[in-house]
Amino acid sequence: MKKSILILSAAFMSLAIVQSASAQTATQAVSLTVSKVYRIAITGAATINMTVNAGVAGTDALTPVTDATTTYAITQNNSAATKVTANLDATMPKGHLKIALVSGLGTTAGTVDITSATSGSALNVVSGIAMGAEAGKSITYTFSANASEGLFVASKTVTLTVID
Amino acid sequence: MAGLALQNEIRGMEVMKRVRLHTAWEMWGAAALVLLTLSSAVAQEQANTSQILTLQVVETNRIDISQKSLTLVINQASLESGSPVEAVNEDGMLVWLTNGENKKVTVASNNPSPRFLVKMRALDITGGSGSAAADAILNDNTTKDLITGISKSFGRSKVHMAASATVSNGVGTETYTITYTITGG
Amino acid sequence: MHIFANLRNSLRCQSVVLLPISLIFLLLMPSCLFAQASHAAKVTVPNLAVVSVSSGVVSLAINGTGVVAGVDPMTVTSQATTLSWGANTSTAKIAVKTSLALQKYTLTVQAININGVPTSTGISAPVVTLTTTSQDFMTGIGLKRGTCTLLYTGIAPASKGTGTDTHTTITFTITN
Repeated sequence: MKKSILILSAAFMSLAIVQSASAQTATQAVSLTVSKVYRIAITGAATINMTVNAGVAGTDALTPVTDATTTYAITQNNSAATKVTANLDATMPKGHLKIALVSGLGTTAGTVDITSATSGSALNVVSGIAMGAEAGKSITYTFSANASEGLFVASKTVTLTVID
Repeated sequence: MAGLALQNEIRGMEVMKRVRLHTAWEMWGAAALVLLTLSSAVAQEQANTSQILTLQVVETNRIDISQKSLTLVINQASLESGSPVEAVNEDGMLVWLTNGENKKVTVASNNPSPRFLVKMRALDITGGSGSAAADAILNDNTTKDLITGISKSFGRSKVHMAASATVSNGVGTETYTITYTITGG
Repeated sequence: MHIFANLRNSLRCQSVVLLPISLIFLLLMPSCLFAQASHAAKVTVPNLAVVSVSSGVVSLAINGTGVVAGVDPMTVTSQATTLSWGANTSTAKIAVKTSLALQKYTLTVQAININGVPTSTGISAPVVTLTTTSQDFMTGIGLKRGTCTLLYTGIAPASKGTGTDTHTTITFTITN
């Protein structure tokens, strides 16, 4: 009787060993953390040339010119309070530059005069941008000058910023 | 009276003479007996026979293994490499005897192409002579050295036996007959 | 001629004497020149299957690096850990699952840089999107051992905002 119990025990033990040997597991813990991400990029020509070369006789304001050859793309995963601002590297002593951004995720501010907007005084061009991403949204620049300002050439850098 | 005295003196002289003669005969007899005894002794030694014995001890070799049947189970695998971990058995005790010189113990398996790999070596050799050879790998049925340099001694050693397998060898059981031979080195 | 005949007769006489002696010698000598003993050794290999990972913790973070403006899915990858396995049956395979039922983001895993021994041929390792249901991670690994790199890819759409998914236990199970 004792012998059979021993044999049975040995059989169960060997069965347990075989089972543990034939189905093994390994485990890992993986954490995926997503922080605030803002990304905005402009696509199109690196340099845009806009030339005012027409006007109406008797009118100081010359005929404005527009450019809508570039687009922007945006990705943000923060709250819906995110916005896009625009500014120049320096104010323009002569002439005026306006910008208008189309937005699907947010609300466009329409055409915004950024002639005097610098980094410290950037202006909202899109606000209330929902979390997500969109691309290929057009940027429209409008450059205007007065005849009284005479001839000038200016090179300006426009910066778009996505921010809370 | 004078004649009677003379007669008596003459008779006495004859008696003395007979006594002396008798004594002389007795001495000669004793001498002859001694001579006869000596000559008999000499004759007996010469009759002994001699024999030459040639004593020989022929070369004698004996060997035995204590464990007539053993099982090695490879039931683990390395977590790092995934390879099965070799199974080891050191229960077998090999004993031998030889009165010859420069003998060795060899080992051979009966399996010319084993599925699993069995390696052997001698451990803890005692008995005054013999040293363990390198691992004998029984990957065929040829003879491999297990212990070398055994001379005029009797000894014993453990037999370290390790069985290994690769995952590609799969699952199964194989039995080998392993023969130990003590023979000329 | 006489010389050869004598020699032949002599050799014949010698062989008559030497042959039995030689036979006796041959019969007796083996028993004294060597001795033998033998035993039976049985080697048994049951089903074996092992799997292990090089590290128990993997961290992935999406913090803007590599994010492309205008693309909603933000991705991050990790190849920091490896997996080792061994199986001696032909039908062995490895499955994977996660303990995290409600996931905000998507986590995939795939075996890459597979180094199978004796060969990697026949091993299939699809991209597995982790769920709580066990899915095939590597198949065709029977009668092989080896290592591979675990390529984890975290995919977080920007539209899902910030946060953390903690997969407390990702389980790799090898079966025969």
